[in-house]
Amino acid sequence: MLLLLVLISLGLSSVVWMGSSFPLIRPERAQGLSAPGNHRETDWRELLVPRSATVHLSSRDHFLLRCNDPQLAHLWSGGSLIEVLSALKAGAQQDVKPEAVQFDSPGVTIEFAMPWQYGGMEVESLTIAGGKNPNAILKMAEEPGRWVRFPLKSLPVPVDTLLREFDPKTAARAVELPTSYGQAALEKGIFVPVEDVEFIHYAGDYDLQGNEALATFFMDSAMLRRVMERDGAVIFTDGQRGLRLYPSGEIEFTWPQGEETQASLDRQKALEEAGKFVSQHGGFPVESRVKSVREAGEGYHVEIDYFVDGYPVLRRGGSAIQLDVDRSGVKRYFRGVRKASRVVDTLQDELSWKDALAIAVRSQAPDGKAVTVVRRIYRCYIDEGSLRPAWAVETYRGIIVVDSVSGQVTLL
Amino acid sequence: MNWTKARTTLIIAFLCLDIFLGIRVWGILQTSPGSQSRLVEVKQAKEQLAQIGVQVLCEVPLQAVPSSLVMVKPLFREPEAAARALLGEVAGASVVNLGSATVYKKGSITMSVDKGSILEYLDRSIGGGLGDTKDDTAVAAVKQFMSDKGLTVSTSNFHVSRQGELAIVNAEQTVGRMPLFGTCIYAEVLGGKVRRFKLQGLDVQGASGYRKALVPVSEALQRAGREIVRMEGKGEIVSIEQGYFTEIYDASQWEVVPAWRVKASSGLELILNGYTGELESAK
Repeated sequence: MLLLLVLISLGLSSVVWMGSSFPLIRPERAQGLSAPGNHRETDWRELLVPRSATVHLSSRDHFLLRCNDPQLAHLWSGGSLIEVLSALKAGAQQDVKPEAVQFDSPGVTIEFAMPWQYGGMEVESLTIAGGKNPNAILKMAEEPGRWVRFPLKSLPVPVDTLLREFDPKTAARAVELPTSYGQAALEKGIFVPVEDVEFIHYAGDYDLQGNEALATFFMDSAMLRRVMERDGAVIFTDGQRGLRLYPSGEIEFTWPQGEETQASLDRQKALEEAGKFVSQHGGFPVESRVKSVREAGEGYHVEIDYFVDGYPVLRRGGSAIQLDVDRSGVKRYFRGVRKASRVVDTLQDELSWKDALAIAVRSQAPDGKAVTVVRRIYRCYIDEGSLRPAWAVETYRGIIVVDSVSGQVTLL
Repeated sequence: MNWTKARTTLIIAFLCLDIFLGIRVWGILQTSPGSQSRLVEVKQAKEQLAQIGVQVLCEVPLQAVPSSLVMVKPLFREPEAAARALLGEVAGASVVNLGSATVYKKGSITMSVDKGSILEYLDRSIGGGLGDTKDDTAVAAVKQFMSDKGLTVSTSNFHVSRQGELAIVNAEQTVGRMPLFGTCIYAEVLGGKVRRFKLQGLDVQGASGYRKALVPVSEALQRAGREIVRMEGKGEIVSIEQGYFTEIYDASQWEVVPAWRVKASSGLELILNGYTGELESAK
């Protein structure tokens, strides 16, 4: 009898122990996208502010405004210049030969980060010049550079204000480059700084990595499983959505099935969706600009560049932020934004634009052919494990980046 | 010492303890997903499914075994290792690379390996006229073949079907006692010899992380039912079972997730994530 009771108690004890050792977890259906963590709320319209501008005071006085210059933001704010563009009457324009384009009247040239859509054309830059006959000169983003002039009744108020209040001491003096250099032709209207500026070589990690990235996309990481790829990347997935953490620190989120299907999607809606998504997952770097929104499959591919100290950061593999958006939402989100968190070196003795151009012309375009036409030359950072100061020589067949210290060439 | 008194005291003490434990067990069975409540939930799920046009024709397991993720890796890291296992000696074999797959040909044998986990083998020297193979013999031949080639993959649910004198053996890889959905073993046996063999299998490393409870079977049934309605309008569920689910990746290792597999009479096979209930695969 006693033995039987002992055995029963042992059996019941084990049942009680087993029963309480596996608490029932009732996960929510889809984890949903978690609330944003550290991010900067950004109105997507801010991302369309031009990337740089050149102020022309006379034929010999030109000054560069980088994208972080408050005067540029002020010039663009309020939408007056957008109105100027919108008010340009189709039919009133006349094509201008590049050699006839002069920057000798007081005015400003604005470089768009993303070509501006006008009458089915893509506008790369807009020059608004005053003088006796105010006019707007549009440079189209097509090969070879095409220039179109529109007459203006008067100088738009923001430009007039900028010119009146402009303090040359606050901006870098620039010079217009000749239209040929060795074997290569340079397009009209390329301005480069003539004075050496303090250029900083930064080090830093990518801004969204590891567990922080995981928490941004998944509320409950206990429901995730890992795939360790041969190249060292790790993918976390719940079976629906995946987050790939590259060994280099970049991240890529994919959601092939998407969330829910909307009735329609146009370019602007795609950009809004992309902006909202980035705001919620990592946020925008302080200086960011939309580089392109182009149709891809049944949706749009959005690329967003970021800037450090007003200089664009270039990298292999395209923009630092890339998204694929369709009617079911964001299907793919790539992010490789490096924080400029430590100063490695401050450079003053860097390569000049002439050195950089000579190296680029001696090199070859990314498609393997010789460099024949140069569209733009500008200072930039190249993300090569750290943010290295460099010169970007843009051609119609890709960008040749020349390291400002070593002269090393990177083809993008 | 009074042994009689001591024994009586112990009997009373254990009786009290057993009553106490019995009440606890009864409480657990009532409050946590006990068999009675699970039975009620499953019954309700069946009724709800019937209302939307899905009949449950199979027995439904009431107990979902709490499970952890399981770490797996490809059977072979390099294609050549697979070729050595199946061909014995790679020297003399012709090699063709087709994307992630590598095909080897040596004598009458053609084999391929894809992502280190998908093997295919064909020995053309084994032809007809070798006579029928009994089911047991066919299964034994496949097991022997795998053993000879060093393919140490635990398997279960051998199923033999026939096509003329060909015995076709199908099976699934297992993790512990549970099937690993997404894997398969297929073999054609002629005259007791394996002519064609296909293995989609993995090297199971072991548990990864803690065991966690799965979504209840009643919920899995309802999810599957809704998917069947979405895909086919209506249908019949002919089986539901717990296991693990994997896809075959070209990766160094990965975790497989506990899952529910639901089969419909139409042949539709649904895999639901055991932790979230989300649909992982439908084919």
